[in-house]
This record gives sequence, C-alpha cells and structure tokens, in this order.
Amino acid sequence: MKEDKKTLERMLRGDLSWEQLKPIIADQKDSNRFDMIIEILQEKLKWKEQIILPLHEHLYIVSKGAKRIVKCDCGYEFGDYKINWKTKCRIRVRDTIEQIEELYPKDMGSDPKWEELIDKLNSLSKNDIQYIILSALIVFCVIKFFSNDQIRYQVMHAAIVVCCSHWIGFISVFAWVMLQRPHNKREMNRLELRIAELIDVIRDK
Amino acid sequence: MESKGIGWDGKSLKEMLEESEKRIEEKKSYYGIERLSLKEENPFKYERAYASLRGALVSARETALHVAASPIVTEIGELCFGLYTPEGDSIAVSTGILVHIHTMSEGIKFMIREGYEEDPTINQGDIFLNNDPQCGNVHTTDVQTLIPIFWEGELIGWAGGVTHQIDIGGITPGHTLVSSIQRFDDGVYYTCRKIGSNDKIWRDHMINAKKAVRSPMYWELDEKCRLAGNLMIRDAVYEFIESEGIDYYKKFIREAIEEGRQILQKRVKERLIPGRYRASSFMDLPMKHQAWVPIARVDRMANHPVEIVVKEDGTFSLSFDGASAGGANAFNCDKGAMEGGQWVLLTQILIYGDKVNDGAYYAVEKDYPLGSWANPGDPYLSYQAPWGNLIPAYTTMMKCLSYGLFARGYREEVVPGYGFTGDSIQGGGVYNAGPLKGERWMLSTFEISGQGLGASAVRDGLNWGYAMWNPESDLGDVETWELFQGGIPYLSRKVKPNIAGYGKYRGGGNYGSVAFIANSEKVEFFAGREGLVFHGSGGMHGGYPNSTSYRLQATNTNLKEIFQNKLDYPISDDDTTNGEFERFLQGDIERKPIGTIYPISLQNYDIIHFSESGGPGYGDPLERKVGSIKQDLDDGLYTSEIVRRVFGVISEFDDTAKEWKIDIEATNKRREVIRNERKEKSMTFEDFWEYERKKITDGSLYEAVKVMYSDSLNLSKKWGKEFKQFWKLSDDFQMEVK
Repeated sequence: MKEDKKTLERMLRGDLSWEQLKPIIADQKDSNRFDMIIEILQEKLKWKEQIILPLHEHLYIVSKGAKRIVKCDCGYEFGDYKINWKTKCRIRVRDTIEQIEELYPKDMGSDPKWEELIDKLNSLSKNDIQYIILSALIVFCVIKFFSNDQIRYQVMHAAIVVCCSHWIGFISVFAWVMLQRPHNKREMNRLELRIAELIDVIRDK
Repeated sequence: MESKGIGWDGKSLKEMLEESEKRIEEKKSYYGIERLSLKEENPFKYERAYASLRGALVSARETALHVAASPIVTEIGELCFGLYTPEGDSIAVSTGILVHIHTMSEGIKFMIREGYEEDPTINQGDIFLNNDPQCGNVHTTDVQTLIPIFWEGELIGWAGGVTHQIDIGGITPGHTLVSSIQRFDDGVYYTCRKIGSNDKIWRDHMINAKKAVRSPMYWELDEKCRLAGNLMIRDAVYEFIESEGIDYYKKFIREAIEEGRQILQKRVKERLIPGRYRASSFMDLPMKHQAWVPIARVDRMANHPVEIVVKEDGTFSLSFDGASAGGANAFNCDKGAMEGGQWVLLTQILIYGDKVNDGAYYAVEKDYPLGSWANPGDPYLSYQAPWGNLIPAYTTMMKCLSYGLFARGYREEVVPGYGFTGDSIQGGGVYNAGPLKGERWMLSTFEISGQGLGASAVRDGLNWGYAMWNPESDLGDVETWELFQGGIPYLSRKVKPNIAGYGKYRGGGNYGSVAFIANSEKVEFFAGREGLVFHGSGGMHGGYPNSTSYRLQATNTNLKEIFQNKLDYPISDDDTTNGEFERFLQGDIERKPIGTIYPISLQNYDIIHFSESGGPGYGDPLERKVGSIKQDLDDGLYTSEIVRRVFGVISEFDDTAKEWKIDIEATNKRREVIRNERKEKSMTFEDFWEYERKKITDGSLYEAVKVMYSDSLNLSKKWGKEFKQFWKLSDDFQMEVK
C-alpha cells in the first residue's frame, strides 16, 4: 500500500482510525516516506529553514546558512545540533512525594528518594518576548535621542529608555525571585526529609 | 583418520558447529553464504518450502497445547516450538512465547560443546530436557524439550519446544520467585539432561520430576505436550525431505537463516537513521526490610543503560555497558535470557511478518558486561526472576529504535516501551473444605500476559494486550484462572483508572482485580513488580511513564459477615486516598508503595488487590484532543481529577446523559495555567545541573541509588568516565556507600 500525502497528513494529526492505520503498519513501507513527511512538516512551519531531520515532536535539525542547528517549531533555536539540546531547556524536577502526587495518585508514582521525575521544557516565554520588544524600543529611542535636535523629543526618548530599563530590571528581579522560590522550597523539603531520616536512624539505634 | 560423527558427511556436531562459527566470522554472513541460490533459482519453491515448515510448527503448537492441562499453556499459549539446524540455529518458529526460540538454540549448542555426542550420546528417539539459565534458558520455570532429528544415520536438525510451568519446586510456590537468592532456591534444575529414548520419556525421570514440583499433574502433561509437538515437527521434516529431497533441505535451512539475517539488515537500513542511540531504565528491589537471608537484606536499584549504534550498512550493535551489578537477588539475567529478550523484541519491532529465525540474532553485535546483572558470571547466584531486569531493560532498546523510526518518518512504528508484565501475584495454599479438601492449589495467574503497550507517535497504546515475551498476548478469563487457583476466587476485575501513561497519545490501560481467600489453609502470597521507580525508560517526546504498582491487602476482615448480611464489599481501589477497602471492610488494611513483596501468610476471608500495568505515553498531555479525553473518562481509563491536573481538561459527569461533558472554555484556561506553572516551577539547565550535582557530591542520594551508581562506576571505565565528565567530578571520584 502506498500512502498519499493526504493520508499521511491525517496520520500525523492522529486522525486515522485503527482500521485505516493497521494496513499502514503491516504492509511494505513507501521508500519515499521520509521525503513526504519532511514536505508535510515543512509546510506547517512558520519559518523557512530546511528541515534535515525530525528529532522530536516539536524539534528539528535544520539547515541555517552554513550551520545545522536544532530548532523548535515555536521558533526557538537551540544551536549546534551536535550539542545536546536538553542543555538549553528549562527543567522541572519533581523530587518530593507531594510533587509526584500532583501527577500520580498516592502510591502510584515513583518514590523520589529512589527516582525523580524530570520534565524538559522549551519555547520562547512571554518574558523573552517582552525583553526582545523592550530592548528593540530602547535601541530605537537611543538612536532617536542622538539624531533629534529638539530637547523636547530628546527628553521623551530618554524617558522611554529609562522606563524600559527599569521595567526590564524589575521583571528580571521578579522572575529571579519566582524561579528561586521552588528551589528554596525544594531545599526546605530536602532538609525536612533529611531530618526525618536522621530521626529514623536515631530510633533504629 | 576418518571421522565417525553423527553430523553431515561423517563430521561430529562439534566440528560442524566450529565450521559454522568460522564461516560466520570470516564472511560476516550465515554459514558464509554469499547468495541465496535456491531463492534466486525458484522463488516459488523456496517460499513454499519455508511456508510448509512454518505451517508445521504452528500446527504442532496448536495441536500439542491440547495435550497440556495447565491453563498457562492451554489458554494463554505459553509455549512455542522451533526447528533448528544440526548446529542449533533456528530455521523457523511457531507462534507463541517466542522469547524462547533463541534460548533453545543455546541449549543445543551447550550439548554440542560439552560433547554429548560421545557421552551420553545422541541417537534417534532420544529426548533431552533443559531449564538451566546457564545453558541458554531464561529461568528454571521455562522448561525445554529437545529432540534430535536423524535422516539415514545423519543428524539433520533438532526440534524444540518450551512450556512455562505453574510451579518449579523452588523456595516458595510459584513461577517467578522473588525470594530466591541463590541457585539452590531456584527449584529443580535440568541441565540439558537426557530423559528418554525411543521417543519415550523414561519412567524413573517422570517419577523423580513429579516429586520435584508442587504441581505434578501439570508437569507430566506439559512434558507430554512438548514431546508431542516435537514429534509432529520431526514428521513434518521427514515429509519435507521426501517431497523436496535431502540435498534441498540441507541447502535450504542455511539459506533461510541467511535470508533472515539479510532481512533484518535491510529493515534497519530502510527504517532507521545511522547513528548512536541511548536510553536508560531502572528497577527497584526493596529487600532491606523483607529478605530472609542477611546478605539479601539490602535495598537495590538496577541501572539499565542501553546504547545502540546503527551503521550505514544496516548492521547494528547493542550494548548494556554501564549496567549495575548482579547479586544476591532473583533478578540476575544470564546471557541466554538477554539474547532471548533481544531476539524477541527485534522480531516484533523490525522483522514482523517476514522470516523470523536466528538470522536476526546473527545480525546484531552484543555486549552484556561481565559482572553486571546482564551477565553476572556466577552460576551460583539465583536466576529465578530475571524478568525483573530483563523486562524494563529492553524497553530502552525499543525506545532507542523508536527514535530512529520517528526520524525516518515511520511514526506509526514508534513505541516508547511497554508495561511491566505484572502484578505477578503468586503463591498457593491447601484446600481445607470442599471436594478438593487436602489438595494443593497454586496461585500463578498469568493475567500478566496482557499489559498496556506504549503509545505510538500517531495513536494511543494498546490496552491490556501486550507481553514483551509473547507477541500473542492474552490475559485469559477469570474463570480459567479460578479453575486451578480455586482457593482465591475473584470478587472483581475491572478497568483501573490512572494507570495508562499520560501523553498526547496515552499508553495502554489495564485492569485492577480484587480476590479473597476461601476454603483454604497454609496460604502463601507474594508478588513481583516495580513500585518505587517508574518501569522502563519512561514516556517519549513529553509523554509520561505509566503508574507504578503498590500492594494492598486486608487481613482479619469481617468479609464473612459482609457476605452473610449482603453488604457492600470492595471491588476496586480506584481512589487510593479514600479506598473501598477502608470504607467497606473492618480489619487490618495494609497499603505499601512497593510492588515486589516476599511471601506473606493469608487466611480465609483475607482480601488482596492487584493490578496490571499500563503503557508509557507519547507527547505532551496538554496536546491531547479533548474528544479523546472524554472517551478516556467514559471508558474509565482516567478520573476527572487526574484529567484536570495532568491534561488540563475540566470535566463534569452528566447524570442524565450518563456520560462525561468537557468544559472547553475552562479547559483552555486551565491549560494556560499549567503552561505558566511549568515556566514558574522550572529552572535553567545550569541550575538543574548544580542542584543535582550537589546531591552526588554531598552524599545525600538514597543508599540504593548510590550503590547502583557505584556498581556502574566500578564495572565500566567508559561509563564512569562519561558520568564523571558530565558532572565534573574528579577522576578518582567514588560513590561513598556503606
């Protein structure tokens, strides 16, 4: 059976029934499957770099100029494909029972003492987008400040630069505090667990 | 000097095996074959010949299983047959528990290498029995019967059959004994022993064997089942030779294996991308507070790192370098078990629907590091429950191959893994009332044959329908199991929510059951499964692992009064924080987050809960279609609360329509909240690295984890070097363990 593009598109969307999918699994495979899938994936992307190899549900090795990089369908670029893209991710660690039980019913998840659960996240955050927009505005205003003769406009551009800089500073500090909060909580949880273990050890003795 | 061997042209079997191995080594093809001349000259005759042998093997299995009495064989089909070359390479296989096809190959080769031709001699009509993991088997409970096939005085092949026993006479009743820690606990051992001649099983052997196990009737009929199947295969080979000629047969069997090797190589080239693939899985063995023997009283965790290197010519290598050590526990695997596991999964992932034989075995380079759980090198350890490592370890191979299949565009073939074949509940007791009073009953439920399969990249995983060791899995009917384990009748078996791995495509779901002890005494109960770590290598591309197991039982209950007064009794444990056991029963209710337990005693009206595994998920759960979530809720695969927390879907049960309704607007908001929460609660890779590194350097890891990494560091310099480089540890770094 040779699958047409439309069928493959439906397959990628998860729209094929088991009756439609089973022959695709069981029969001989198309020799041009790779090219057809690349074509379908490329058409869906909002950026133009050529896909070399699909790596993940949302990640691709793409050709960017002379470079080969890992790029997310959201536009985020992880850099050289030879460097593990996971090192550019944000990572969520679930290493307390409470955090595991946010996902799994009691007793039905791992014991974090034995095994933690790691989520890897990628994508441009809202903060990233804010930084980009504000930074562009600052650069624009600085250029205008020096190119404009009228003091009124120079004051206005200087004021925008100062406000934007303060805003970036503020949200950076706020984000840092928010990011540190779970870290501190984890540290406290770990301390509590260590204390509980020490109590057990003392009791055993 | 003229050789007087029983092999071809007067050669001994040892000479034939050495020549075969030499040709494989030199030419890198099976028996040094360069072209498939029979197939090229007359492909129709060639294919018909293969189909006739394959058909004979399937027919032998389907007929022989009716000789057996054990439901494990008759209902679940835990048997298979294979036809082998004189050197012991499989040519064609039946359906069934195919993990054992290559294990029998190793058994035959053991006999050849040990000089069985001279002593105890190999003759037409001889029958050999093997269940020794040191000679290719997986564990003692899988019993092999092998017979030589002669034609005009020459040994032209072997027929072999395997059945899985209900009991093997080990340290406790059961088939996969978690309390076994040394060879002498593993039950009766038959190391490639001759047990019959002239097509008859010797009487003294049968008397002896029946006394060695707790289920003598099943043993006897299983032996007769395997022998019957083998004799049918032998007859089919004779028919083949009479039809096609002995010369054609001799050439054909070698070319069929070479074709099997070429098929795997072609599939690898077609479906994978050359490169290095890696994944890891883990398994817990919490024995610190359970084991009977002091040396075994330690919590252990196993490391199962896998590296597959796919080469451009379609060959590939498989390495478990970095695996943690074997030891005083039942989860050790010998080489035969590892090779059987590799073989059966390759036949399922890559060469299904084509010629399946030992060609697939020869197409792969393997590395099972000496001293590790994958090849402990100590015959006196226990090899009774190697599945404890084998099953999770090979999910990593499946995941590695899936990365390649995904990249190549074959998304329908992707499988991140499968559920552990458990809860493997076992034990037994003695009837103290009823018509079978005084008789022993065995608890060997083989519901484990039906587990959840992982999701693919385009669809949900198969529910309750997969076992890594048997491509034709079937969990069987409750009534079937109650036939031989009447002392523990079921109160229920129903879909258990929240065990399928979460994802854009969810893993397969499964059942939970409740059973109670009736009309019995001297009841032992134990179980084996993961509990403290997630099974296998987790989900894929954002998918989550399936849930872990736990133990729940109630003893000293008021169940008798509940029955008498027709009150509600527990039929499930859908909500583990507000369970039916606690709500409906009086007595001692015990919940433990572990899956593997040593035997405990139970009495009449004690109740147990057990559940089978789900499969891992694929993709981000927030991308799962809400229509699919509604179906999951209607099917009872997830609860509304888990769906809210994990999938971000807000639902409400419509009492009038008797179905779940999804609030789309609230769902969109909830999913946005979860996305924001992910950002807030995550850290940069650099912070993550510092955070986790501190746990390694300050020694705060749990002892079992430290021992595991210490094993891996000591067993493999290569693995250790990478570990130290990644975490920036000194060259002489060692995990400090007690």
